[in-house]
Order: sequence, then structure tokens, then C-alpha cells
Amino acid sequence: MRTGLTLIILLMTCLNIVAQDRATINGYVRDASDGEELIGVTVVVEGTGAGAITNAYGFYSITIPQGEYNIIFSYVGYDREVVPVQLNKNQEMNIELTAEVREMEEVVISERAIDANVTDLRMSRVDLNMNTVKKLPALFGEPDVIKTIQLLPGVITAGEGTSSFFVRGGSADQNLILIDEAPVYDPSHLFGLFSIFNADVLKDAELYKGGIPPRFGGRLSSILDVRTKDGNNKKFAGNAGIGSLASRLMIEGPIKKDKSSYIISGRRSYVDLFLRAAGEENLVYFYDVNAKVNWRHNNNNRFFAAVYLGRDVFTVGDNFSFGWGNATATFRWNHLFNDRLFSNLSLIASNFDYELGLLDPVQGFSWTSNLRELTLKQDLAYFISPEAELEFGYHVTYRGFAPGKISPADNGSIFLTTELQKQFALDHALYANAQTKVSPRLSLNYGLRLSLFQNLGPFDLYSYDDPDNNVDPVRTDTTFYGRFEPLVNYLNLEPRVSARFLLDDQSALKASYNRMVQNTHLIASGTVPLPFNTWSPSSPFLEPQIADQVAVGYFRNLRNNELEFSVEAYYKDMDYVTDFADNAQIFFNEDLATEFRQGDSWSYGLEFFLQKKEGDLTGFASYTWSRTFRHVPDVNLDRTFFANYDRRHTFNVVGAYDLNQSWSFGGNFTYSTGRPITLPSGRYEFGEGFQADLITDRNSYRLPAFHRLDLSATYSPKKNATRRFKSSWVFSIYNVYSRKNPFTIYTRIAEDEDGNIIGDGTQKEARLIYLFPILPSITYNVNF
Amino acid sequence: METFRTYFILLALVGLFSSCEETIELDLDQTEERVIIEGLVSTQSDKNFVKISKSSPFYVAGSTPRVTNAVVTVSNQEGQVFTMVHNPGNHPDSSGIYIPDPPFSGVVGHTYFLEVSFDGLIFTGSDKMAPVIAIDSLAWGLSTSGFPNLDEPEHIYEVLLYAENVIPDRNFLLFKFYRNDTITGPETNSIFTADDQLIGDKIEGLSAPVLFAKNDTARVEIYSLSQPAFVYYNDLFNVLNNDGGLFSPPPANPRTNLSNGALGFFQASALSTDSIIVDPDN
Repeated sequence: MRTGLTLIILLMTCLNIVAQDRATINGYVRDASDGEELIGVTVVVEGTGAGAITNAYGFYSITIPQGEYNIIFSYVGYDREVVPVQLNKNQEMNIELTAEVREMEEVVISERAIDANVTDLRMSRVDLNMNTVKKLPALFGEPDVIKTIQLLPGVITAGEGTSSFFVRGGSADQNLILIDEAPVYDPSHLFGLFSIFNADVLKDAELYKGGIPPRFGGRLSSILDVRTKDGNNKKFAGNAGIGSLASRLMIEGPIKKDKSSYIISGRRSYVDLFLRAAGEENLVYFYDVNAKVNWRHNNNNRFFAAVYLGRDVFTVGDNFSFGWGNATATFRWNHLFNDRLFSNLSLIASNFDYELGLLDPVQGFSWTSNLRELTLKQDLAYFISPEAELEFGYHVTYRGFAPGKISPADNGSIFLTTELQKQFALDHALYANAQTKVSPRLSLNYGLRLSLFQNLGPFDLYSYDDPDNNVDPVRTDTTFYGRFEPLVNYLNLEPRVSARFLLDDQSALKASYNRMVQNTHLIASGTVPLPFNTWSPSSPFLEPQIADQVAVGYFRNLRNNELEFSVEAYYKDMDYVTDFADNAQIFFNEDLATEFRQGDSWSYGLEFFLQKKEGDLTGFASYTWSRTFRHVPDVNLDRTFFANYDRRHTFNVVGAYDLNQSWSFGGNFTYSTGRPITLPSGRYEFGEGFQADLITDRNSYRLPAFHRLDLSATYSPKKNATRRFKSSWVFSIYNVYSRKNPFTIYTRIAEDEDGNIIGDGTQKEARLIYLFPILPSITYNVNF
Repeated sequence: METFRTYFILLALVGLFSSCEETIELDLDQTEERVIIEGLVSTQSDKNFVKISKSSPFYVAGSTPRVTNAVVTVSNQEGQVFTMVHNPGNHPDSSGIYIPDPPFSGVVGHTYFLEVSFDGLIFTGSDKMAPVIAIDSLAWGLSTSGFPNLDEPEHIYEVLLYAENVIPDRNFLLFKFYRNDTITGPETNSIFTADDQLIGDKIEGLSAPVLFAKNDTARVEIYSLSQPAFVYYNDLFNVLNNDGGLFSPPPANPRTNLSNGALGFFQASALSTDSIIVDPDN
């Protein structure tokens, strides 16, 4: 901690040497209608090439020689604002942008600033606009940001009906998913049919697949940074939606106009109400609550407090139940030390837990597990000049893992109270990142993240005769570590570098290299994580996972920036990827350490992306060619195998079209190579009639290809223009041509159509499970 | 534990409530056949056997190929050798099954060794016999919970098991439940095992996973398992109930104590058994 502070102070002193005849202009960019800060607004000083992009808090700062300038603020979907300034001293300029009003006979604006697609230093990154997400057809009419992310280049899914995604050869647990900076350990509702992100409250979602900034760490493959709205600080507003699966209500408004605001949103599914009405005893529901308040003490001090709470509850019959949920809380303080030094201090708490319960007098038990963490983050951004910017900071996280506890449900239960040992960890990170404009064409971004991970006591650490013997583990010794005593320390340096070279004002070449380290490991051996999976810290038996990725890309804007095109190639090499021995018993195993197997994984691919963000027709098309392999000792008899989520070809097209003020349409089509699957090569008998599959190579078969078309139409009555309550209807059709898309294959003893076993019960057959046939749905929304 | 795990897998699939399925034809590679050995030495002499078979292609039905020309011996840690004879009764259903001649009973605490040789191949394995908890009693009653089977409306009685766990060491158990000499489990790919670290000192009224009709005979067998045997049965359960690796782990062949690539297990178990007739009229 002390070295960290010293370094920060050193950096700050070094940077105070700045020429005196310059002046800084800084401020926040907001939406004129609701005061919402806008992330990613391009701020350009006309005629100088100097500029900035508003950060995650809507803040920008530009330092330029004193003089007279026109400052241009532009943002997709908003009218451009040109502000003349007489800059002779440091100046604060907060700007409000007005959402553009779309007229039928609209003329396309011809003069525009060069799009960030080309100029932005960052690559392998996609910023998702929530309006796009909302326009797309959605399963059961519930717009879902994760389902849109699953369509992006370089992102692969395990199929439909899951909220997991796989980025550039990484597994589902290698994505860091953040809501208002707080990590979410399981983003799924209803086993993944929906994600926990309620589209009503989301402001912005960014996915980083490569060139990951040093302020992020802790996962190998990607960062999904989701930010919620701050709440309207101009007037009371809200919206409500009634869907076929869930209903939503969101209200927002000022506490003190232009100073402070709140937003509260809730969502609840009501399948259970239908089921109950139908006399069904099996119940299932989920709910979400998002709440946020923010207040501007003055322009130098802003405060935010945000809370997310969500839970899924299932009950089967009278006696079996389970549930899981995330709870996060974020408190942020944005402070301006001076015109050019922006500070963000965050205090973040996150909790993930699940429970399983069987109510039975004899076999009853309840099982609980949780993961809790508390993080303190100090991030600083120093806007030295338009040519240089420095970011640095220190993060520390304390985590407690309670992998599992079984308690008897009743006095007569055969179960004992048993608890697996809790684990603790402290995760420090110190980082710095500099952005430099080397020449008008070449810009560099280089940074370093130093991560120190400590696995801490109290803990009884077992030593094993053979740490890989998972059949009959023999413990040779037990060492006790006291509270906060480190069992092991892992120190890692993570370099992150990227460069952009402008070929002309329409195209650029970009390249990046990053190293990522992951110290929290998901204990799951299936492809798709279940909410019942636990996490484990790096420990004496579990090394940190490390990934090195290089990516190069060509970025080009076409038709006067109307179309954004990019092609990227990547190679990713991962060491110590966490896997489990064949047949691993990962559920409630005190000797889990003997099941860990860490190995190598490597992935390469080519990604094409074409996007149109403005106009009546918006959308994108993506094509990804990729391959991902694994080689892990003791897994698949030491032979290399395709990763569970390897898909050769993935092709997606997404489009939204505004026909007129009443009607708009959306559609998407997705195609991908079938995922690998392990299938039997034979059958054998064991015991009193068991017909077991003989297994040979892991993942050596492919499921049939996956493809699907979805369409939607949104109708907003013309009367809306004059009404306080604006209503709209969303009609959507999921899986238009009712493709039986493979979910998975299992085998069983052959049965006839009535469920009777055929013959002597030795004939086996394979069954293909598919999820959703054609599914129409209607949602009614009201905005007020 | 198995009841719980079955729920777990079932829910993972059924939870995705609108799922549908259909039979598909797989185009599978034909691999070489594997040798399967299943052996049991128990405290009850008439239970002991060794069965040697081979795997079949996935889609080939009927009895799998049997090995009838093997030389099979079982020995104990004291060097005592028990000869196993192929199908002495010459019963067609018992092809590939080797029975000790003369019969013998296993002893708790002894380690047993198996050697099988045929066609120039030798397979060996060993297992140590752990003590078993004794069944205190069985009882029957009208089923209070559970899921009555509409196809068998007369099956309304449950059978409950009572036992006390007095074994000080960690121990593992395999339960077999029979209704009128027909075992329950294989038809639903269920295997009932327990680890005494999770169950308490007493089993008070563990219900058999099947319902009974009037005058049915219920029989329960408890086999002690070594840890490798417990692991084998868990692995077997997993491969029998695998979903192809989406939620469950990718399927793999069960870990065995047999050498030379044979699948199956050589098991030494102490046995505790009891039966009861469901006789509500008396």
C-alpha cells in the first residue's frame, strides 16, 4: 500500500511541469432532456486536430494554447453542438446535447467529424447503444443486452437460452461482468434465458475483447462494463412495460433540479402466476431491483450511490427449492483536484449466493454457498495535453469464498451439518496508463498493471502424498494459517500496449498486445456455468491463469462515415487455464485440490464487422472465423482437444429500420458451426442392467449447425406526440422458421413413442434436445 | 445423495421449460472393443462372481460379447488363492460369468486381488473390504410423500430403512433396493451411494426409491465400498446421466482399479441385508 501511494505521488509531481501559456477547458456533457451524463462524446477543437472523448463519467478535459476556438461536441443520435470560446484562462464548460428529432424528409447531414471507429486508439472494443438493443427482436419480448453482445464479432455462445458468452477463445468465467463497476458473478435469470440487465435502466455497455486498459484486470478474456442511468434531474419521468414473461416499472426524477436525481426500477417475471393458475406446483420466478441516487455537490464533487439486487427462486413440488442471486452496491465520488486531474474513488460491495433445499423429514437438507467481496478503487486521470493523458490508480479487493454448507432441514434428517472450509483472498492492483500522440498519425497507448494476489488464512492447508490422486487422496500433513496470514502470494506484471496509425482520414491500422491474469477460478466442468457453481481463489494448488493476446486490425469508414468497417485478427495464448481431471467430482469435495488440472489453451481468429449507426436503417453484420484448443494433463488422456465453445464460423446480421413515426422494425439472423460434443463410440454392460456409454475422444463430434431468424415490429400510435403518456406495442417473433436448433445430445435406452422400452432394453439411442420453436410475443410499453 | 443429484440434473434440463427433443441418428466412429470386468468378493459366499465381457458398437442391441476362455483367480493378502470356474451350471444367461469353486466368504479388512488372463492379455485389480453398517430394521407404511405412479395405482406403500452407523472410520455405502427380487435403479439409471461424512450416526426411516403393493416383498442390501469403489459408482452414475457436456462435465469412462485398459471394477464389499413383506391385512 505504501509503495503504491509513493508511486502515485511521484507520478503526479512529474506531471506538474506544463507550459504556462496554455489553458484547460473541461466539463461534463449531458443529455438536455434528462441531465444524464453522456459517455463517449467526441469533443473536437475545430481546426487543431486536438480533441477528447468523454470518459465513463461524462467528463472531458482538453489543454490547448490560449486563443479563440470553436469546440464541437458530437454524439450518435444527438444534434451536434458548436460552441465558440475565448480561451485565455482555464475554463469550465458543461454542455447539454439534444437528441436529434427525426423528420420524415430528413436530409442526411453531410459534414461530420471523423468517426471514433477510425480515430479512437482503442480496438477490439464495442460500445453498445441501448436504443439498438431495445429495437431488436427479443425472446419473449424482453430486450437483453447480453443477447446482443452474443451477436458481436469474436463472441460465441453455447447456444440459445444461456446468458454465458465466450470471447476470443476464453471460457465463460473469463469475462469480467460489471454493473456500475461492481462485479456480477452470475448474470443469468431462469438459467440464462435472460440476463440480469434490465434494459430500462442501462445507459451504456462496453465490451473489451482485447487491448484491455490497465484499469481493468482479474479476468483473462474480456470486460463487459455496464453502466446504469443516473436518473432524470430535470423532470419526473418513467416507463412501464407489460411483457409475456415479465413486467417492468422504472421511475426517475430530480430530488433537487439539476443538482440531484434518483432512479428506481423493478422487474418481476410472472410465469409462476400462470403456473399457479394452471394448478402447477412447480414455481419459478425472478426479480430485479436497480436503484441509484446521485448528487452534484458542486462541479468539483459529484457523488453516486447505486444498488442492484436480483434473485431467482424455483420450487418444485412442496419440498424442493433453490435460488440464486446477486447483490451489488457502489458508492462513487468524482472529484476534480484541478482542471486536469480527475479522480474517481469507488467503494464497491458484491455478493453472490445460491441455496438448494430439500424439505423432507429424512433426506431433507439445505445447502448454501456464497462469495462476497469489498473493493476500494482510486482512479485518477490526468489530462496533460491533447497529445498526452495519464491514468493511474490503485485497487484493493477483499474476497471471502464460502464454497458450501449442508445443514439438516429437520431434526430427523440423515444429513449432518457439514461445511467446506471458507477461503479468503486479498487482491491488490496498481496501474498506470499513458496515451501519447507521437505524430498526427501515430498515437500510442501503453500501460502496466501490477497485481499482487494473496490467498489468506484462516485456513487448514492439506498436503497430499500425490496431489493428483483424486480417487483415493492421501493427506500427509495439515498446516494451519492464521487470520490474514498469506498461504501464497502471486505477483504479476501485466503490460498493455496499443497503437493506432491513421492511413488517411477514413482509415487506420491498429495493433495491441495485452497480458491478463485471473486469480478467481470458476469451479465448473460443464460448458455453461450454472448458478450453482462456486468460485475458488488462486491457492497453493491453483496457479493464476495468464493470457497473452496480440491483435491487429484495419478500420475504415465508408460513405462519408455512414458505415464503419473493421477487420481484426488475434492470437491468444493462455497458460494455466483451469480445468478438471476427467470424472472430476467438483461438488462438495473436501479434496477438490486433487481435481484441479491446469493446462494450455490457444485460440486464433479473424473478425469482420460492418456497422451503421445512423439513419433510418441501423444495425451491424459480423463474421468470425476462429479456432480454440486445449491441452490439459490428465484430461482427454493428455491429448489436445477442441475447447467446448470452439465454433469455426459465426455469422450475424442485425438490423433496425424506422419506416415512419409509428412503425419501426427489427430483425436478426444468426448462424454458427455446431459446438463440439463428446459422444459415445460404444456400449457396455455393468451391474444389474446398466447400459453404459463407452467414451473415446473428448469433443470430437459437432452438433448440427445453429441458425435462427427473429423479427420484431414496434408500433407507437401517432397520438403519442400530444400525450403525456406515450405508449408503444412491440410484436416479436423468435425463431421465425422454427428451426430445431440443437441444445445438446444425450443417450438413453431406446423407447417407443409411448415411453415404453424397446426390446430387451439393450438398444441405445441418441436424443437431440432443442429449446425454442417459433415463439411470438407481445409487449406493451408506456413512457411518461 | 443420489436422489439429490438426480433432481439437480433433472432441474437443469427441465428448468428450461419449453424444451423439446427428438431421436437422432449419430454417425459414430467404430472403435476397437474394450474389455469389461466386473468382480465381487463379499461376506456372503453365493454373491461372489467375476464377469468378463466386451463392449459393443453403440447401436448394436442384444447381449454384449462374453469372454468364456479366461483363467480367473482371486486371492487374498495372505496368499490364499480361490479358483474361479466359468459358468459351472452351463446356464446360457451366465455366459462370461465365473464362480468360485469351492465357494468362499470374504473377510472384512482383507485385501483381495483379481487376475484375469485370456488371449495373451492379463488384467489385474485389487480392493480392500471395508466394514458395513448393519441394517437395524425395515418398516412399511402408507406413502406420505413422493410421486405416486399413475400406471401402478396399487403401489401405495413405502418401505423405510433404519440403521445405525457405528463405524468410526469414514465409510462409503452402496444401497440396492428390490421389489419382489427385481432391482430398482437401472431402469432410471439411478445408483444409490452414500458417504458417511454427509449422513449422520443414524439412518432413521430412509425410504426406498420405489413404492410397493400389498403382499410385495421388499429387500434392501447395503454394500460397503472402498473409496475407489465409491468413486467408480459415482463416475458410472455420471456417464449414465450425462447431458453431453453442456451443464454436466464432458462424459468420461469411470475410473477403475483394473489394469491394462479394462473397464469395470473389482469390488470387495461386506454385505448387510434385510427384507420385509408388506402385509397390511395382518
